[in-house]
Amino acid sequence: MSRSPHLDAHPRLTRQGVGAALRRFGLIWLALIALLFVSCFLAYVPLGRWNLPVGVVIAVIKAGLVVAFFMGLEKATSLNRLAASAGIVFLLVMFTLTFSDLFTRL
Amino acid sequence: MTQADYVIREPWEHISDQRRASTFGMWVFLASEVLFFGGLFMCFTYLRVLHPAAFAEASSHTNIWYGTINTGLLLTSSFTMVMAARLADLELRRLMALCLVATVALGLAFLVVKGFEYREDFDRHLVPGRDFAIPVAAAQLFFSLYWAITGLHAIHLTIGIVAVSRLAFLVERRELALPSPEFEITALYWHIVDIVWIFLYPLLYLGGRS
Repeated sequence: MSRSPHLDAHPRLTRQGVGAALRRFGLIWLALIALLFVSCFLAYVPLGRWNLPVGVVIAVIKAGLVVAFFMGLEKATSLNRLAASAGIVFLLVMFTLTFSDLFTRL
Repeated sequence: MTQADYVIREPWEHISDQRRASTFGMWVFLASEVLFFGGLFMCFTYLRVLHPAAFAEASSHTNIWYGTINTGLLLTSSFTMVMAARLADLELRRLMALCLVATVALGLAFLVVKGFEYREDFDRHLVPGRDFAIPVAAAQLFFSLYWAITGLHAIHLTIGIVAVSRLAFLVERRELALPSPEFEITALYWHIVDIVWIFLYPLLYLGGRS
C-alpha cells in the first residue's frame, strides 16, 4: 500500500505536519513534566491543610491539558464534548450529594 | 483488496462516518470509566475527610520515587501515543510504528516499576491484615484503597498495552490501513488511563510529606 498521492506530491507538507505536531505536543509534554515536579516539590512545603488541595488542583490542570490537547477535545465536535462532560457532570452530582450529607454530620 | 475494504466496517459506507461514530462511542465509554474510577476516588476522599491524620501517616509510607518516576513514564507515553495518532493521520507508517512501540515500552516500564514497588510494599507489611505495619486503624483503609485502585489501574494499563501492541502488529503486517479510526480511539483510551494516574499521584503519594 502506498502513501496517498496527495502527500507524495508534497513531501514538504508532511514534514511540516510532523514538525508542527512535535512542537505542539512536545510543548504540552514539557508543561506536564514541569507540573509534575512543581506538584512533587510543593508536597514538601508545609502548607498545613492546603497541601492536598494544591496537589489536586495541579492534577486537574494536568488532566485538563491531556483532555484538551492530547485527546483533542479542544477541537472535538459538540457531540463528543457533550459525551465527555456527561461523565464529569454525574461525577460532580455524586460528590456534591455525598459531601453535602457528610459535612452536615461532621 | 483496496485500502477502503479493510478499513471500513459494517454498516458504514464512508470512513468519515465510521470515524465520527467510533470516536463518539469511545467518549461515551470513557465517561463510564470516569464514573467507575470516580466512585473509588469518592470513597477515598470521604475516608480522607473522616481520618485526615491516619491518611497522611499512611500516605507518607508510600515510595515517592516509584510514584514520581511512574507518573513521568505515563505522561511521556501519552506524548508518544498522541504522536502515533497524529502520524497515522499524516500516513507516516514507519515513524508511527516507532511511536507505538515506544508507547508499549513506556507502559511496560511502568508495570515493571510498579512490580518493584508492590514487592517493597509486601516486604514492609503494607498489606492490610494482621501484620500491618502502621499502628493506626484507619491507615488500613488507605492501603485497602491503594491496592484496589492501583490494581485496577494496572489492569486498565495492561489492556492498553495489549491494544497498542495489536495496532503495532497490524501496522507492521500491513493489515490495518492508516486512515482507520482505531488509532485515534486507542489513543483516547490510553490517555484516560494516564489521567486516572494523574489524580492517583497526589492522593496516594504526596500526602503527609511536609
